[in-house]
Amino acid sequence: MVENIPYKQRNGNLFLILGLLNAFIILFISGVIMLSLYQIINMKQAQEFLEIIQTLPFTPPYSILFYCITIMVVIFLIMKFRYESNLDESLQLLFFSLEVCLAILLMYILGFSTNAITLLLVADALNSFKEVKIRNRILALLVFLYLLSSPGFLHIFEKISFTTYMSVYNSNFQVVMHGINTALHTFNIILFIVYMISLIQVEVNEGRRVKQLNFRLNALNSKLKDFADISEKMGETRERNRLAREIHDTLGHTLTGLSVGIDAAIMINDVDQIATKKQLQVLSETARQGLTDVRRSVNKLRPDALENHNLKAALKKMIIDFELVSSASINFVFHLEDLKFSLEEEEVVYRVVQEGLTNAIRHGKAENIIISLTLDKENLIILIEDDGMGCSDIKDGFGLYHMRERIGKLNGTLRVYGHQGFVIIAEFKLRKDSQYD
Amino acid sequence: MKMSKLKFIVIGLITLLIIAVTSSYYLNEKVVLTLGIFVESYWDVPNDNPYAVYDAAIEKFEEEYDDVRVEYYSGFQKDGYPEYIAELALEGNMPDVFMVMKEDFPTYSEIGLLANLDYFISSNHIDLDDSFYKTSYQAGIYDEIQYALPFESVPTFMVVNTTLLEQHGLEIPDETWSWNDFYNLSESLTIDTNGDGMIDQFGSYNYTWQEAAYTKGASIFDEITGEINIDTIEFEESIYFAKKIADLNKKNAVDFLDFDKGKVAFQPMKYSDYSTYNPYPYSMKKYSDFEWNVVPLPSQNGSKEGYLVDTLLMGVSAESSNKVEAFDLLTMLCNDDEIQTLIYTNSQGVSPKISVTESLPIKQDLKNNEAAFDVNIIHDVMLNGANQYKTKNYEEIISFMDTELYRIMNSSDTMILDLALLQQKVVNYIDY
Repeated sequence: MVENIPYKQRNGNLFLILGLLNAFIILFISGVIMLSLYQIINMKQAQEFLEIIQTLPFTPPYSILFYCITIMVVIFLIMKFRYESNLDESLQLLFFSLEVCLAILLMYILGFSTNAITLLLVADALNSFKEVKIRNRILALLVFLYLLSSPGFLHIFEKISFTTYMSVYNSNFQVVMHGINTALHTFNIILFIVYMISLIQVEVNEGRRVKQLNFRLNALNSKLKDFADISEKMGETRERNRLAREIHDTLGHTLTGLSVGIDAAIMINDVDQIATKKQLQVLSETARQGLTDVRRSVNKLRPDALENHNLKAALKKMIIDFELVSSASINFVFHLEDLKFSLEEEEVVYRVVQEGLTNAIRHGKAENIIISLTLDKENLIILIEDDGMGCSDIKDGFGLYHMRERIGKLNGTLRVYGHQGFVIIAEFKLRKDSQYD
Repeated sequence: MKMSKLKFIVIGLITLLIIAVTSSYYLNEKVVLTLGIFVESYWDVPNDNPYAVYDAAIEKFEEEYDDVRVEYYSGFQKDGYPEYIAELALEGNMPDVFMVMKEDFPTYSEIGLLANLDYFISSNHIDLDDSFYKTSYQAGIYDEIQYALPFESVPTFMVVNTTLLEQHGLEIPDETWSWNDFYNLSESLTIDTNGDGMIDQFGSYNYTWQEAAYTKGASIFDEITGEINIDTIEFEESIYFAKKIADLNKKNAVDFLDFDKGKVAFQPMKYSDYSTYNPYPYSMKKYSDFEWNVVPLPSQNGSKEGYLVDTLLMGVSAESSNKVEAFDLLTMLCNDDEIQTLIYTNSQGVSPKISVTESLPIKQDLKNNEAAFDVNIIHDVMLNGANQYKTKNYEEIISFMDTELYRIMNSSDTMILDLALLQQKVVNYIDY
């Protein structure tokens, strides 16, 4: 929805000219009618005039000019009020209806000898109402009014045409007055058309601007995604660096110590077996210490969730987090309550599910995702299925590569299908010690 | 929002209060009704007081209604009256009650100058059929709406030179005479008395196609659609009869002086024209050396139908702000026996009120007079008056048809074809 642009920006000047022209037309017609009526009375042509009209003109003649000016001013004041105050749609409609009623009254007073003002109302309506339904109804109504009030169209409204008033003058004067009248009305129609075109132009421009903004927004979005990818990669690198440092600090250190110690043990073995034995004991201690350190390091790499919860709770937490950040609804089936996994297996399951969900939401734009963990004999089967865009030509990206790598470590297999949505089936054999308690 | 609602209510209440105060102020004011009338000086009849009928009606009306005053402008003559009314209409200054001439009635009704009286008539329980002669009140109907009431009617009679008929030993016709009787009498009276080879005594003068068409019941305009409808057998027969009567005079120009000289046996004459001959109503004027009497027009077969009756109407202005009082004034003028009786003594027409004409006190006097105007004839003619044709530009159409029919009657052998052509011509004329 485009925000309502104040009329001053929407061809306000053109609208103002249209309004002024209408005021002038009303002034001209009402003045001519008033003077003609007095002329008819002065020239003793009243009886003849009655014969050629279908209805009586508004009386007394001087009040025609007075009422017309008053009503015109009131209509302009209502317009001004509507444009300058921030009314809601229904109040706008109410005041606009008032304008239409006044315009009908104005045309009635003028014996429907002009209907120029209906065009001003059309322009006004297009300016004021944005909702297509309301706008169309108002336009249909105004077009109907325009037709009804047109001279010579049906006899719903009793009309006295401008020509009728002119018939009391000599032909030279008639020609001049008709010329002015036609010129004013033609100019009114031209101005109305120009106004319409400019209004359409404004709307087209607005549409174009929205399109451009949208395009820029999309560009920014994809840039943001690139940044996110980069920062993810940076995170991974950082993690690897930490791992390397950890390995270097713990395992490297221990292994270095061990290799040096073992070299020394080899050398002193032939000389002093007791010392060698002692040395080996130290080495064994060192190796054990190193193992503890490695365990500690690996523990550090485990996801926080797994650190604090069991697998099911961790998965649930992850799923809730995903649901929170995306619009997807995730169906989670887990029937392995009694099963105890090794730490490594837990982590693989966790990571596979995490990668699968990430893929489904980020690349597949999936709305519904099913995750199920089932046991087939000794094999654990992880199924991640979504209704997203899928992918007919699957290339292993970083995510899939990692999944495959992780499953591979457990001697498992990973299958992916991308024809209808995206389906990931990961399968690996559980270790003996991770069987039922 | 609530604030503005409250504001609206307050403004509404204040407006109502202002309206109430001003209207109560106006209600306490004496209502002033204006009356638009003309003086029928058309016939130059000496009249002590041309406003006698109106003055009497106003006096009686003001006695009944304390809070209403009636005003009128005096001095308007018939010729200037339509223009005067038209000017007032354009100025928005219409009199509340005003006279409507027959030829202006369709225009006034159509453009909305006259108020629809149907509601007032029914709410005042006025039975038009009981009160007025049908021909008179129907003159005030346009598009099935009663826009005006009849104030005064003027029937057309046939004036008969009884002396001439008696000289030739012919019986004076009564109201049941037919076209044939009229033709036969006219034929036997059309003669050359001094033997100079020129006809110098005539059967009739001024009997036109209009008299023939009316008494034949041949409508010029279709009663329902209002369209011109002269391409009919009845109309053709009327024209043929009018032609037959005219042909009797053998193209000798007859004028009204011939009738005055006693050379013409029959002449159709309006009651008001007759009044010109008779400054004092109902006393028969002895003219020259012959006596004359009045009978209804001859009808096609003595059926006493379709007599010509002209009616002067009165209506209420559609813009009147006191329509109820205005209608009461209108009924005082048109439907009050006392006032309507004054028409016979102060005006040149007859009263369209049945009860008034029926109970004329001078009936007996007339009967005693040998050459009296029989009031029964007035009653008879009014009862059988033809329906009035009402259409915009009626007078123009009739005078256009007059010219055309004069040509047809004098030259045509194929009348029905010419009438069909004339019908088309008139339609074109109206459309133009």
